[in-house]
Amino acid sequence: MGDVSAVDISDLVVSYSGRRVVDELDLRIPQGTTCVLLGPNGAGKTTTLNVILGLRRPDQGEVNILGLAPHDPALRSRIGVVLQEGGLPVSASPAAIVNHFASLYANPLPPAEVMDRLGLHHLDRQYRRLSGGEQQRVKLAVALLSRPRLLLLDEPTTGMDPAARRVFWTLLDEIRAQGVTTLLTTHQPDEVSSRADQVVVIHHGTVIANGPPAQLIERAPTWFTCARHLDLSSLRDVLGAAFDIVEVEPGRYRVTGDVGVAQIAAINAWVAAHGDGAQEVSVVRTLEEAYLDMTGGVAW
Amino acid sequence: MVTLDLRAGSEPAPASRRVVKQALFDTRNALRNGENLLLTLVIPIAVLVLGLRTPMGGGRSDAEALVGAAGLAVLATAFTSQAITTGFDRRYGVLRMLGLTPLGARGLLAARTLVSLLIISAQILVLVALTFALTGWVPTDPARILQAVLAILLAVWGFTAWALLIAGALRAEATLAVANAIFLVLMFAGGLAVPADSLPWSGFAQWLPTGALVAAMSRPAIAWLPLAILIGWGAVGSLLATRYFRWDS
Repeated sequence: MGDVSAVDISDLVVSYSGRRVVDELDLRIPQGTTCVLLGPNGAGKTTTLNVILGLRRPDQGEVNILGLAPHDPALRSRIGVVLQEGGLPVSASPAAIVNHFASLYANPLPPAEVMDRLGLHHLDRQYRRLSGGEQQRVKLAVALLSRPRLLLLDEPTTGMDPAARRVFWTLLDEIRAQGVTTLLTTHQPDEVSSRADQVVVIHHGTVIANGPPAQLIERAPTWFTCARHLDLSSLRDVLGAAFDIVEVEPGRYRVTGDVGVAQIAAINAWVAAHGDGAQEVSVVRTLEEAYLDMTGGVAW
Repeated sequence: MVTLDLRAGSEPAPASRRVVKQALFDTRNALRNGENLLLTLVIPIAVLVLGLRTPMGGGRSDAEALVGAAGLAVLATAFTSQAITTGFDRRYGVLRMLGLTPLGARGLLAARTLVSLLIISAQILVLVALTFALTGWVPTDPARILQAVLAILLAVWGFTAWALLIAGALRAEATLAVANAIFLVLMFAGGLAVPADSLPWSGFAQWLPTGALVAAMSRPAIAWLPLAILIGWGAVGSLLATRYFRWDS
């Protein structure tokens, strides 16, 4: 299994009612790594996950999961899943749910240990009466029971409070250290930027960026604030044609291009000359800004 | 803090264990549901007691009253309860999730059928015990008991198939309404709550699955036509369910 990718997808096409929601998508995730799938709503993330899970047959393309076809029954004990919506019996308690799902495996994680780790012991209400964050923790417990080799987590931290998020990310680090591959989707890019080995941005059903977070963050624009409605032509002359400067909102400017130390110094000097001197160039680049820039959104 | 050791991996539990565990889990959930208990136990018991102790039974014998109540229990469990449970499990993504576990789709269907058989067995035992307690009568003819068991098995097959068809094709709320409506129609027009031969449409009632079930459980000789009717309902329901059932809503 050493050379086999956890997920190997090439030329994937999925259409609904004649419209391509996944369009010639390629994705390869090496075993033991953490990959984050980013994309706007409707970009094709969940459809891609459904193909990986064998819930949707592709119209075109090759899909191999841990070296097997997605609908191979052997995968059912090797993949742990947190579905974005629903998935668990709403009238049962967390303990009943975790114990039951554990009983479907020959050598599951001890349910009491999983419940303890995810802080579920004190929850004796029906699943439907739990908060969103508590429900997510039950889903995660169920996903881990089979000691999976691949974890597919669709918006796993939705509804979790900061403490629960911290427990979740610590647990994910621990899981990664054991060689488990994780593929997750999220709407909180910055939360995963320090933990992901690979970030894949999907837009209109196709991969528009794929690489380590640091590489993608390099593509994030640089921001600075200054006086309103400045004539930017002199700054463009300073930076050169490889850079684009736009006043996105009054007094807030975005610089795109390969901004380095020299450019930042030049922008700072220009701001000092043209502004009121109180503002500084922001060189803080985040995955979220890079992502929004790539998908045509704005950072707020 | 406990460290979760995932390195060993895990194989699926044996198939029979998975099905039995799922069936027991679903049975416990069903027995904790008050509305479900009303439907599957209280109403059949009420129909039996009314049939045995009041003129509302339409002059049925003790055996006929027991057969009517048993048929109602089978309908309530294998059709109405099954349809509603499956419909809401589908809406909440439970079917999809279980399909991703080693249980799989076939295991889930086997477990759901086993749930019906477990609950129906308990219902029949309660109804027979109650009949004995109220009248001193119990069924003793082995041939009739065997035919009744065969008819119940065929009815469970057919009702389950139709329940899955409705639950797998309609929204959960629509399934709830349709399953309850069909329950009431078959209860009052299909020879369960009142004898079919006392109804103006008795000729039609015998072609309904409940009419055929009551007839097969009542007749001393081999009831070829009622059994064939039950097989027909089961076959058509299975074909349609295979074609139109969707795991996802």
